[in-house]
Amino acid sequence: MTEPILRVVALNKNFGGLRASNNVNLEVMPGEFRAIIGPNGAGKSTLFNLLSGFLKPDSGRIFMAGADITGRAPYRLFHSGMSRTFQITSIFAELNVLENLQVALLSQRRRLSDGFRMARHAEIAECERLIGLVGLDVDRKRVAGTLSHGDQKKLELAVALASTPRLLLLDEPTAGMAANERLDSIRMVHRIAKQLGLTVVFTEHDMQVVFSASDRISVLHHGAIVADGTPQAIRQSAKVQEIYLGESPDSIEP
Amino acid sequence: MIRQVIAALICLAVVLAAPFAVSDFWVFIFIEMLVFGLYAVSFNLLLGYGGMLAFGYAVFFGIGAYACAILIKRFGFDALSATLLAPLVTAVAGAIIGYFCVGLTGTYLGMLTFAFQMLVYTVVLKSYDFTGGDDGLSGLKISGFAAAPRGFYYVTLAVVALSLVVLWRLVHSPFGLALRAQRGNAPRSLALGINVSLHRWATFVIAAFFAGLAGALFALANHSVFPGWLNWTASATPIMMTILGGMHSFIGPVVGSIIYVLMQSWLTGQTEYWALFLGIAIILLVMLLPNGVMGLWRNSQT
Repeated sequence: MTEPILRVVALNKNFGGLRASNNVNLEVMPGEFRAIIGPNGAGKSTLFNLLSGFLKPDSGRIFMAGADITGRAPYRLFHSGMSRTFQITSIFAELNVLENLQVALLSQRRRLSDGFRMARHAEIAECERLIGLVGLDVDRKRVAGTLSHGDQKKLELAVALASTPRLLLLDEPTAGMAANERLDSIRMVHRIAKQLGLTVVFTEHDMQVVFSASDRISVLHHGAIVADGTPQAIRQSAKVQEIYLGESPDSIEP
Repeated sequence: MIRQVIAALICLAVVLAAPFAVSDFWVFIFIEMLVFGLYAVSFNLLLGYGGMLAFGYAVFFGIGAYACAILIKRFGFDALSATLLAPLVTAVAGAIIGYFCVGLTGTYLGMLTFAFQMLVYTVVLKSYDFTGGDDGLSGLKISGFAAAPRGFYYVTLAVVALSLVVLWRLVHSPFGLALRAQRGNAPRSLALGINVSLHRWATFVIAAFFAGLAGALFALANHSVFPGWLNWTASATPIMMTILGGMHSFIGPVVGSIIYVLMQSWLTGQTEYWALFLGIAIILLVMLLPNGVMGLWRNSQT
């Protein structure tokens, strides 16, 4: 039996009286493309911040490839092979395209304490490989904050891929995109993930996006996982339909 | 390329020949420009590159100056050894103060550096037997080549130039890249494996080292140290120099230092209300040149 890349056991996190994560159990196998869905306020972002070390759980454990990573600092998780993106596009807006990638590559090679050699020409070939991988067609010296939203998303993905992570966490990778761009975008991520054999966990609330590109889906509601299965099973689950129909009508799409 | 080399050679010729064209008074002014140029560049390592506004930055300049003076007057060191040791003492102070500051951001970080400055100022003022209290320490002797004003100018020029080369390499290195990265986006930096607090702390130590070196040089240039260098008003100097010259340029703070020292020296000769006019001039410059003098120069290039 293969070991899961990510295993979450009885994870809890409260904010005051709010149970943001309620006894969450989760297993993600190597190479899987896993969606975590749920209405707004279901606890998706909290779960992501717990997994990536930005929040410490009140109780429960998180294992990555068998190693207990509960409470490990985010910068240490990166060196253990985890990479994440943020819901609001998070790039280094003041750095240029190349520098954004160089930070990630130099960090992974543990070269950021080097205070003497010049950074400008570091890892150019690897940067170009990543730029090609996500299909980013812009001037490398352009300041990242001036790129279009779509190009910023691509750059963010390229940065997240730079460390060849064992586990890639994408927090709403299609947030802020027009409906027609979302499908293209998630399919590109899916293609790259399968090509590189990455394990991906992503959150999303566009149902069409979720059903078109995921191997398994976990459904969060009030901080708890209420369903877990293939897209087919989730689509037919009465419980899931009930949760979504109980919410605002625009959170589910045909 | 050829034009740049010629420009560099002309600059070199000017800074080497300058002391022979002017009186001792102006040699001292040039030394002051160099010393404060290094001081302001080290300050900008925190502000422009690291995004940390250390309001009480003069604490490091003051500690460097006092460390140098105390080593000479109380422990019998010669000027050279004192100048080499003072930055190390200041780096230790930077490590301690930085430890408490790097976890904070914005105004809180600024105010804490300020509090440390006032603490050190008070200690220096009250430890009369050791620091000379409000009289400061004077009669710092330099022997040999650097004893004459022009000799000291060349020593300062060499030390400042070498320091600027080291700092220039630093901000263009992977270390500098990570420093700029965390300034703009700390969570992203954390998620990319950068120990942001440690990186900021290391920057504090390095900045303190060079501020301390500047302080030690200034103590020797004056043959004395004064507690006023540690007073809270002294912290305005590196901030104003950096804003004047431009915080988004490596050499900006040096340009700011040259302008500031020139204006100050000229105005003090003109009127006893020099601070008023200096203030007005700086307000005008900052309003007209929001990115500093180097911002203006950069705009003309594109």
